[in-house]
Amino acid sequence: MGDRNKKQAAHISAEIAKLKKEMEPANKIDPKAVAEWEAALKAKAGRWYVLTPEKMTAVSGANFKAGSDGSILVSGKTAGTDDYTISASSKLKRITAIKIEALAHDKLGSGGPGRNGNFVLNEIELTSGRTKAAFSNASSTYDQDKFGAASAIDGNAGSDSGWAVGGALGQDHHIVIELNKPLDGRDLELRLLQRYPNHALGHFRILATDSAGPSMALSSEMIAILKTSPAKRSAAEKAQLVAVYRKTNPSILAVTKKLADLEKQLASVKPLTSVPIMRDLPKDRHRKTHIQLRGSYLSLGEEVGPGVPQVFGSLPKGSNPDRLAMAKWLVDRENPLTARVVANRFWENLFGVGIVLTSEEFGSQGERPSHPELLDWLAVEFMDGGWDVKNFLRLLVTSSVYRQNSHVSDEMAVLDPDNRLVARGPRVRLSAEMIRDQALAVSGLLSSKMYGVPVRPPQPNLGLKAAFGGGTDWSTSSGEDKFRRGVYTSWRRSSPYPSMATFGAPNREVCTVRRGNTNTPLQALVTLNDPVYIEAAQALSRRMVAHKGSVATMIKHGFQLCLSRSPNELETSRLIAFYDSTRSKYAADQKLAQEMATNPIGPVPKDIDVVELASLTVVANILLNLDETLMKR
Amino acid sequence: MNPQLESLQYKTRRHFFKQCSMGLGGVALSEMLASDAMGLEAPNNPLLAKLPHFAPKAKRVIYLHLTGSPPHLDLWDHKPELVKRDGQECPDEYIKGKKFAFTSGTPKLMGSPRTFKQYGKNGLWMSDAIPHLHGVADDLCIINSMTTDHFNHAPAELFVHTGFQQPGRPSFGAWTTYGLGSENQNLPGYVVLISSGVQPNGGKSSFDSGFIPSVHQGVQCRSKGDPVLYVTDPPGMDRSLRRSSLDALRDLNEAASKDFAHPESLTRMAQYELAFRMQMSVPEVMDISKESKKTLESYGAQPGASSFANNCLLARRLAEDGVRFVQLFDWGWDFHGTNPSEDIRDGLTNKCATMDKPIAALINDLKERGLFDDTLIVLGGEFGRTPFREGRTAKGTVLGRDHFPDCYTMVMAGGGVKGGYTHGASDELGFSVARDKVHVHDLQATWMHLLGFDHEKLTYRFQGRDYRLTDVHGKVVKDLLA
Repeated sequence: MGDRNKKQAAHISAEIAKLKKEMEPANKIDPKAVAEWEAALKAKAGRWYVLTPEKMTAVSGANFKAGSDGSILVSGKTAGTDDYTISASSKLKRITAIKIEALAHDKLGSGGPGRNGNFVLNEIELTSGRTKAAFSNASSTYDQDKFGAASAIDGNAGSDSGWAVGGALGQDHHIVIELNKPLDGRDLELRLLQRYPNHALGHFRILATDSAGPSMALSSEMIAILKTSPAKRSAAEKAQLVAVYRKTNPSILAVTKKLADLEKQLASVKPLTSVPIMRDLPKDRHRKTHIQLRGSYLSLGEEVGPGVPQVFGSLPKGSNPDRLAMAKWLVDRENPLTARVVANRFWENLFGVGIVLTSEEFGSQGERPSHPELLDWLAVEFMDGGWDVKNFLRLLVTSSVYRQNSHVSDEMAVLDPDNRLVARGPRVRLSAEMIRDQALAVSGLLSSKMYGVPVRPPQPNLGLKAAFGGGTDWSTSSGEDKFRRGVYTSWRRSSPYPSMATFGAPNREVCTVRRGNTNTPLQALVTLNDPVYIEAAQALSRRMVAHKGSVATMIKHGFQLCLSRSPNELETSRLIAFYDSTRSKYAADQKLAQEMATNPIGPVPKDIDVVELASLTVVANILLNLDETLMKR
Repeated sequence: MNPQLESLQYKTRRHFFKQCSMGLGGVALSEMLASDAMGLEAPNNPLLAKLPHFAPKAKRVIYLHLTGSPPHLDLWDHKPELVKRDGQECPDEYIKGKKFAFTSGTPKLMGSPRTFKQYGKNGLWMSDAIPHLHGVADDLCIINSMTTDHFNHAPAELFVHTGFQQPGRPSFGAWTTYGLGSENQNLPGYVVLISSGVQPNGGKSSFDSGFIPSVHQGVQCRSKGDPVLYVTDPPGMDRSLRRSSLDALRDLNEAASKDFAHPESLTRMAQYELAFRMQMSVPEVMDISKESKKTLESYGAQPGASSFANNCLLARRLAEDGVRFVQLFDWGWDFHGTNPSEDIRDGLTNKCATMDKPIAALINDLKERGLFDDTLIVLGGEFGRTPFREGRTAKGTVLGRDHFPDCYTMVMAGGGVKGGYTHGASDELGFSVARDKVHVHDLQATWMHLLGFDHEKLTYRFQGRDYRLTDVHGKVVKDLLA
């Protein structure tokens, strides 16, 4: 999260905390206030008057039929969306609230109250004479999720904002709407806007009240509670009563609304980075997992549950079979496999071949360890060292077995060609990524920048599109991103970075623990000709030139950078001889020299001889291709 | 204790048998018998030519994949009854419980609007969309009873090339060079040529080496730019300088290898020499401008262009130079009917014009050069197309068909394949195989057989399992063999 965002979030959090504190007295509800509220509610409960409809019209042209009880049944024509306009009058001079009863009926779909079952009242409008009513509050006996009573008076007549009763069809419901200011009830017009297609009311009744004090829709449950004398109410009933009181008390409501707004604000402060976390679904929503026969999701085998292979003990006692238990089991002292496997992988990394050759397979199909006691000792050391990888690697590389000379004697070449008995030091080819990183490192191009999004080092354009996708070519990253470590390279499985694929970087389609140590002519072409390696040679030659001195001094410096040792007499003289012959060639063709020294790295630095630089570039190209450069020893 | 003795004690019967006759052992044996065709001094070269399990009928493969899958009912499989019932609703029993890529509900049967006739001595049915192939009917083996397990492009394509629907397994070409090596070390053993501007559906995975050594992955060659990546010397370096720099490199490596005496170093030196030769031979083989005007004309190839025709000609040149496996992918055969170029009338005529002439030319050219009889040619898509009109486009004017895995056509020719032969048959409306079903795994087993391998024995051990091209299925289809 950025600093500005952090500040903003902190500010909002503080305000929330303050409000919550303010709310505390409200938490302790004054029983007296509740009792007063309850009395008012009761006083009014009976004082609702049915309005007599006088004129009823629907946009659809549907028929309205008023019953003797004042209820209205809709039939006949329908339209996708439908607005009803009802004129009615009462004897009340001063109405404070209206109530619309949505009533069940056998003739309606699903038993009503909508013509097809459910209905959505998107907006309710009321006028008295010429005065349009303003509403303060709406409540109902039942709300469909996301279609609460309040959205019928929110000024939004959109199809998704309204009161509906899905989930409780075939039953009576009602909505009570309080007016901001009392209105004359003798000449009323009510408009019911229903904009959700095919969700119009089918059977309803309109009532009004003139009593002061709170008006709200009371569910049958609430009515039952109110009818019970306070002394006989259960704790749950009391709590429910208080909960309803809190929902209707205007001063509490105001604070609650403000709190909700602030929490919304806090949630919308966007972090610059986010860390996704995983957690279990609730138990009843756990997915059923089947064996997928031959890997096809269409052919399912038997259902399986979580667990660990019997031979490796069991999950920690009393734990759920979840990821945490799995993690604990993996590193349990009684489970020797993990430490063995990990120790063997590090060994393989350094020695080229694991103590167990098949580092990916320790089961019955794998090979036996060449040195079982050693593997066990290493595994225990690793566990005892607190699974500290750095310390463990230090242990390996400082061991006398690792520090042995890697010379292969004739005798050893016959007895142990693959060095399984480690009677000599390891000698293995660097991995695809290491080869590139090393070339960039010795030439001084490698960027040490860490983290961030993948980068796009130079790769040849193939002019091909991916199937049903975009082009596979990319524009090279700029600046130091061109020279980041190989692990940061963008990787598309269907068109992997070509030079690394040539050196056997896994295609990332199957888990590849052990890579092959291939050695092919195409690999030679990469390190000889790939512009990435040419640029590295050019940069290396510039480092050599910067190390001022004789040709021999410069060459020795480059050699030292690549191999961490000085060249011997023979090596120096061979490279000097090559340098001399190349120099005379380039002296005769300056244009050629210019290309070699600058394409693609850029212009020749000031005061440097282009012929010298070009010749040293070819020397550097040789140094980067030495067997000893590509092989660890 | 003597560690060697100890290691011997760990050898189980499984290890013993593995090293003797089965699996890798079979290959190892042939590696011992291998002759180095070019007399190169590269030890441990996994691409040296090897002998298979038994005498092969085909020494090399040219695989022509029409990406997207052509409408086989408008090219190969003649269905007069379907034509008669054109426009009728598809009977429920044919589609009940089946899934299609872009069609739901009850589609309408669609007979082919094309004209079918019989060609060659044995009267092989073909449509008017592929006029040049009529002339080579006697060389073709048309399998009208193919079936696959997948109806989406990428899984079906991976399935036919690697034997598995998900990416990650070695492709047919990789298995071939793994088993047979290559006859010309100056060229990659497994070459991939792509036309019409789009990769195959599986991307590189359709010609990858999966978990077997990466030396067996398909090498993409191009008619523009570097024919093989990095094969061209960098700007500012000519051939003589490259030669002298490699000489210096070799001298230095030789001096150092005396100190370390590591066999891998000797291999590397040889690989650099191979690379140098490859730099000469790859551009040479990829340059079709030296072909006679007559040859260029017969393929419809144009030097410098990028086309399926050029790639067919290149396939012949590569085969001639000893490349073991040449894989062509040509995009644009997904005839849904979403635009006029995907219409099975004019659209198909136009697309086929880029395909049938070069393939006919390739067959004739290989024959003239005496290469046809030991070159296996495979032609087809990843599945077939429905006998009904595709749902999305059914109300339009363009006629297209949906993906169809249950029954379709593949074509083979050349080494060890029965020519002038139609294998199997679909039912009268083309919905299912009526007789002699050939599953993709069966076809793969047959390919391996033609190359001299028991498909159950050419294996590679990975993650504790011996893998093979045919997974755990496949039977050689003897009727396809000459």
